[in-house]
Amino acid sequence: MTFDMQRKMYPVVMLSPFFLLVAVFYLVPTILTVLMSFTDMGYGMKWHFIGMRNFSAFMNFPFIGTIIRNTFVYVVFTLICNVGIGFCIALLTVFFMDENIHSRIIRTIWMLPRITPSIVLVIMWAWFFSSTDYGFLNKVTNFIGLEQIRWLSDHAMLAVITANTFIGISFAMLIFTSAMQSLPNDIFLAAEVDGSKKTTIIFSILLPAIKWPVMFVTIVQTLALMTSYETTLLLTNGGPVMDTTVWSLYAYKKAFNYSEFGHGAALSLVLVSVSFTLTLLLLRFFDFDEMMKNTRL
Amino acid sequence: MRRIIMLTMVLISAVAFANGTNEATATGGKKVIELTMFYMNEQERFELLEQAAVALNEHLAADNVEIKLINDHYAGSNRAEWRNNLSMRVVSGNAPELMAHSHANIPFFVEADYVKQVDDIINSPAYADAVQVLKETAMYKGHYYAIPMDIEARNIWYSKDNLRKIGLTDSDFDRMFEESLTGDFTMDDFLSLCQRVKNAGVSDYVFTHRPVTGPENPMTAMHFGCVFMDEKTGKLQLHKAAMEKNLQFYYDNVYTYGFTPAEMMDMSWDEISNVWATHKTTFWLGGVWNRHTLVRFTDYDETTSMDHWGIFMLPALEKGGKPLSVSNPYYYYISSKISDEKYKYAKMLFEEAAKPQYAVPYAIKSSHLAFNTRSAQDPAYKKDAHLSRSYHMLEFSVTEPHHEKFPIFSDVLTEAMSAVEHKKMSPAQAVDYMEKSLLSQMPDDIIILK
Repeated sequence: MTFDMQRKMYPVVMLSPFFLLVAVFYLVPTILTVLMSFTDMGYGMKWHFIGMRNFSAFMNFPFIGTIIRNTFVYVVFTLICNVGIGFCIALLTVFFMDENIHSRIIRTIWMLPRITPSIVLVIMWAWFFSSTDYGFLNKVTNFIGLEQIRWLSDHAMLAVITANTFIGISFAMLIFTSAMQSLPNDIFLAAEVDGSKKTTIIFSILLPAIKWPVMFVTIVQTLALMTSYETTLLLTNGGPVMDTTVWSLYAYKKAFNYSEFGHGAALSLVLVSVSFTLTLLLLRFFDFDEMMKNTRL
Repeated sequence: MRRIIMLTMVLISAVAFANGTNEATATGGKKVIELTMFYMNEQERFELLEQAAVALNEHLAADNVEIKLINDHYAGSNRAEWRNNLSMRVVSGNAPELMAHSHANIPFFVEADYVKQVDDIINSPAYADAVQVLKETAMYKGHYYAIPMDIEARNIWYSKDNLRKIGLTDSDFDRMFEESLTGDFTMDDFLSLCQRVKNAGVSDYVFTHRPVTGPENPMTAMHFGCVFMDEKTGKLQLHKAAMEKNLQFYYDNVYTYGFTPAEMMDMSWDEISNVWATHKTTFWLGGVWNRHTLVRFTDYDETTSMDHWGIFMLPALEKGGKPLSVSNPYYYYISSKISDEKYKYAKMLFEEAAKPQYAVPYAIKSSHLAFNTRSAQDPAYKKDAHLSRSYHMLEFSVTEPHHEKFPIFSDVLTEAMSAVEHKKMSPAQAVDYMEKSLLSQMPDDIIILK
């Protein structure tokens, strides 16, 4: 082997284990899922191609509109809460407070849901929202003389969004905190010297300066929420009736509760396609091409 | 370098081959028959078989053979996940020889060719006295595929402590049970009793039931006339009029009589278990094995708990009618991939395990019923008043239909019950919802009857 060939082969050899890993754990499952979505694969794991029947089956499902609406409400509102509250906490602990023990305690408290096992958290939320007299919120409403509220039936989506918000806030908070801490203090001081108000500094200087992390958090959280169902499954199991059944939960139930793997794969494929489209739209919304250009600073 | 690579590959192949074969192995001149059992929930199901293996090995010692059982306990609690896990094992060539799980898996296992036909075991003298409903349930498409292990019945539990407060005595409790068997204690009598409890205000709730999908929900539907399977076509069926009566029963209990809390179906399993174990409800629709729950949530043991709670059957709808119980028995299964030699020893093992000395301690410990006559006649079993008395309910026991789509049907029924109890739909609307949902989810497997 000539030296030139060796030089060309070297990166291929060095990178091949990683290519292999990506192929085995990402590429092959993706191809299999796409293929599976056109089959009637059930519990016996046997494949029979059935064309588009899985797709037409769920498009004809009379409650698919409810599932789409639930998914939209769940993703949009949880995302707004996650990103919004995460931003506010970062702003409070970095911009309005000096870096000290108090700001660290506040951030640590908001980190607790992230480091707690999700099953423990959901059990806590289930007790918090329990529709019976024994639920924490109902104990409070009873104490102040209000009527008992059936949180998990009359306000089930609110409960699901709230639980997910508290679990997800820490991610946005961490990214925004580190982004804000990395900004040079001079620009804020300069703005203050020029007589800018706090709101002007936040919206005209700080927010544009952390546009990258905001975009990153928004896209990652959107994709995570589109595919997440664990909290909903454990808290309401998609009910009452189908009031909190989101697309990913429906796909999970089809594939794993009813062993309709082909149907579940078709639902997942649609979910992935929608998520991909959403990502492109968000990149456009944040003007990704513009951000990729060299900074003028 | 090449030699090292070759040697490594040969070694890896040898190890893989040794793992993959898992056939009978010889240890110290003795032939060891390894049988792996894959199951979930109570480990007693394995221990029962393990004890039988110890006794059997004494006989087999003369032939220099030893059965070695390997405990492959699945730690999760989701039944569908266990089933999917098994599927992965079978497809990847690692099928366990034995499984233990609910009868509901029979259609899945048979259609996927995961389990072996066991006609010879069920027709053997060891299983001749097995409870009839267990034999019927083990049969699928004309053959037996499952080996009986336990059975339970479902009934209405009541708090004796609460009923004593409204003047009922131990003789009333005995009478209620006996009359529920004969059809003299009817649904109207039960509802009247509920009304007395409500008027006296002795408990927070009067009547509570399973808040999640499970056999109790189809049970009341069957009681109101739903027949879930059309025997001729093998398709599932929704009997709309009967289902509406069933849902009306739940609706009335919440909104007409005020016996059941409207938030009933928002409760978790643990929450409702705690509610009925602490007498916050007087009546609870559950299974005989729920005594296990009482022991878990209170300071009582198997015997003393029955001083505070009692049972009667889901009462007949009219005088002289029949009560009903739905059983969800667990069975042992043998893999279709098992070798003939291992099957021979597995058969011997199950025939040994059918003896009362193994079945009875398991039944008492797990609060399940005896699965054969010998066990039911066993003095230790008879001494357990709750299990001994409950055994009579098996005469009125049926099981859920064997159909791969029944889990969907059962979930849709739970959704309809939830809709009615939350007043999101009237019973008639909920039945229409069921019809729509079932027709779209299983168009080729459902018949709608007006």
